Amino acid sequence: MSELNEQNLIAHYASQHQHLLTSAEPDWLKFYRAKAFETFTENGIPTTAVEAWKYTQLRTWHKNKFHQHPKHAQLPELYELQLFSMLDEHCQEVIVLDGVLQTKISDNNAMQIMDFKHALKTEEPLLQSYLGQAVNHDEHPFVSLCDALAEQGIVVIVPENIVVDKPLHILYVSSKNSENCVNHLRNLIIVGKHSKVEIIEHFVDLHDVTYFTNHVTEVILEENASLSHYKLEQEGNKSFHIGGIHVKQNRGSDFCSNAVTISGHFSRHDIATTMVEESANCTLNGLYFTHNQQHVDYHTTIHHDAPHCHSSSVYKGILTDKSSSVFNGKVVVKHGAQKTASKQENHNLLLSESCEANSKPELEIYTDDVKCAHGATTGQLDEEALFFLQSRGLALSKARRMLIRAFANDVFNQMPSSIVRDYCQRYLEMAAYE
Amino acid sequence: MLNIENLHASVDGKSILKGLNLNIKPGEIHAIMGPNGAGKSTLANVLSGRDGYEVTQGSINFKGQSLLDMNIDIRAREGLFLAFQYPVEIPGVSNMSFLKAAMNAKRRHREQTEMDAMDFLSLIKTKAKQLQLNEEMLYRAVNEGFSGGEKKRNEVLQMLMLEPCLSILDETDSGLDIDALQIVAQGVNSLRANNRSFLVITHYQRLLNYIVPDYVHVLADGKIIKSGNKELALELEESGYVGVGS
Repeated sequence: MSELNEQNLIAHYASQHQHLLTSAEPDWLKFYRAKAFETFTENGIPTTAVEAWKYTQLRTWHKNKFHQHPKHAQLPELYELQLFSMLDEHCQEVIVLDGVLQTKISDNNAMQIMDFKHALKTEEPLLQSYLGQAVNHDEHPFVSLCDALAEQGIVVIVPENIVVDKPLHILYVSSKNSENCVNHLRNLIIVGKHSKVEIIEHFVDLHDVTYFTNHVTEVILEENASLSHYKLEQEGNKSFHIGGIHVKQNRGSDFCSNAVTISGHFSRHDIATTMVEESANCTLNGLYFTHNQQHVDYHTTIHHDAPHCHSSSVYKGILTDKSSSVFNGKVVVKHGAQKTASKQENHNLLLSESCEANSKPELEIYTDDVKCAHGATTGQLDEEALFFLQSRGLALSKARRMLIRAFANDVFNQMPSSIVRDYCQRYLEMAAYE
Repeated sequence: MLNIENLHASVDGKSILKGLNLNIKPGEIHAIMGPNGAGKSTLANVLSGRDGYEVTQGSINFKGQSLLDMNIDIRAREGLFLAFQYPVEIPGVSNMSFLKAAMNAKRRHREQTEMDAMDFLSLIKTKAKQLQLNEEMLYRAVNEGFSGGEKKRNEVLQMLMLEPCLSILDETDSGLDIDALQIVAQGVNSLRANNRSFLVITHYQRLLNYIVPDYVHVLADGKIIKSGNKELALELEESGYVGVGS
């Protein structure tokens, strides 16, 4: 990347940022945005010389100058969305079209769901105290960019002592109006003490156009709160997606993250959680299926800041064609975080000669009484098993499918929600076994 | 059933089978014995169609068709079955679901209707019981965490379910204690019929006390050097392979 190019891009985003500073937003938010943008410009756009971006080239992303504010789009016909609406009566569904929440403010007693602008009006003190608690601008350049620029997003507030029985399905739809546009989405999820909720963030596109999604989902889990989070990436083969879930976990809270890439073009996902108080628990499951020239990068970061916390993480990749993947799983056990238990695994299945899986589990331990393990494997389908299955009468394609499914099921079986599991399995079968 | 003529086969360019002839008629049990490296497992692998075994000469006729022209799965659907010497573990694939898929692949091939789930379940339970296999194993992943004996019994379970017309048992007795050997043999014998044949490959005569062969062949250096009835196996047990055929 030439310097001119980078300067150009930063100038491009600076003008978008300037526009916001003259808006009617409260001063504290303008200040927050200004700080975020300052951090972004200081650190610059990451190159592969930066460790966290070593295997992910932003070169093709650079070629595109994405504009903000897509034209207003009509809500797609229901039948167009039905394809992605796995969940019908089983859950509450809201649609975010080209970055804009379509549902009117939804308050179903169990929780409040509203767009960011609305939340600024009605919940400003809450926003002011929570926004930015769980994110780190220095470590995540695109979080700084999002915080500097995002006007859209969703705020979900679950009060104390509530078990939300229906999962919330947030369907992010990109229409053709998103072409050459960027959607910066700044989401905030606050789960109150002793409450429990399931949230599915689902990214789809309808028309295979080039667009860029940059989202930050910040999550605060109060004492003993529990969140099962799903992120499904099911985008087209020209999409750019950089997104992160950044979680702060208080005492006794439980965070279960399930990330599935079914389709896409270029994506980088950060899943970062910090267990700031004792007895918190986190489980990170992930499955990525990549094809064509797709590139998927999963970075997970688990900070054990307090004693008696547990974490476990299993990520699996299935790669075909000329696609590539990155898994970088980092566990940091802080000084004093005694009795930490942590394990993480990454396994990759290579189905073609020219795909590439990069895998890097990292462990940083600054205390002594801990139990930590990690492991990674990369390989092909077991030839012996394929021969065995064929020798019992199964066609080669069927035998392959059976072994791929078995590999993926390891992750699916960890998912608490059978609805999401079934949905993902169905689409993966369609995508992977053609 | 099976007619092998002048079979030459090599592995990695190394010639292993050097002109093997064998004719198995429906209802017959043939045993092939021989020292290590004689080509016993190569024969089993060539018959089942495993990659890496190149047939350089000769022909194999199976039920009137050329076996070598068939894919691995087609051979199986036509009724050929190999009980593996080293059964493979397949994590994540349940015994039950794989066997059901295999049964139905075979039934479709024969233009039969697929088997109903309940019928399948009751059939497999009966067969498992016959082999004294714990029912819980049906739901486990194929051979995962099974003991050596359990793996071999699981092979025979598949054989009983698929009802092949030609079963090849590749050293099925290796690693079995005497109790397990008897269970396996009973399972095999229960399948005996005048339209089914068996090719039992073994190192030791012991198995042949329980699965009594009609013919015994001695394979050495890629050829059958001597054939006889079941008495031949006893002779071999006493005198060893040294000197046979000379």
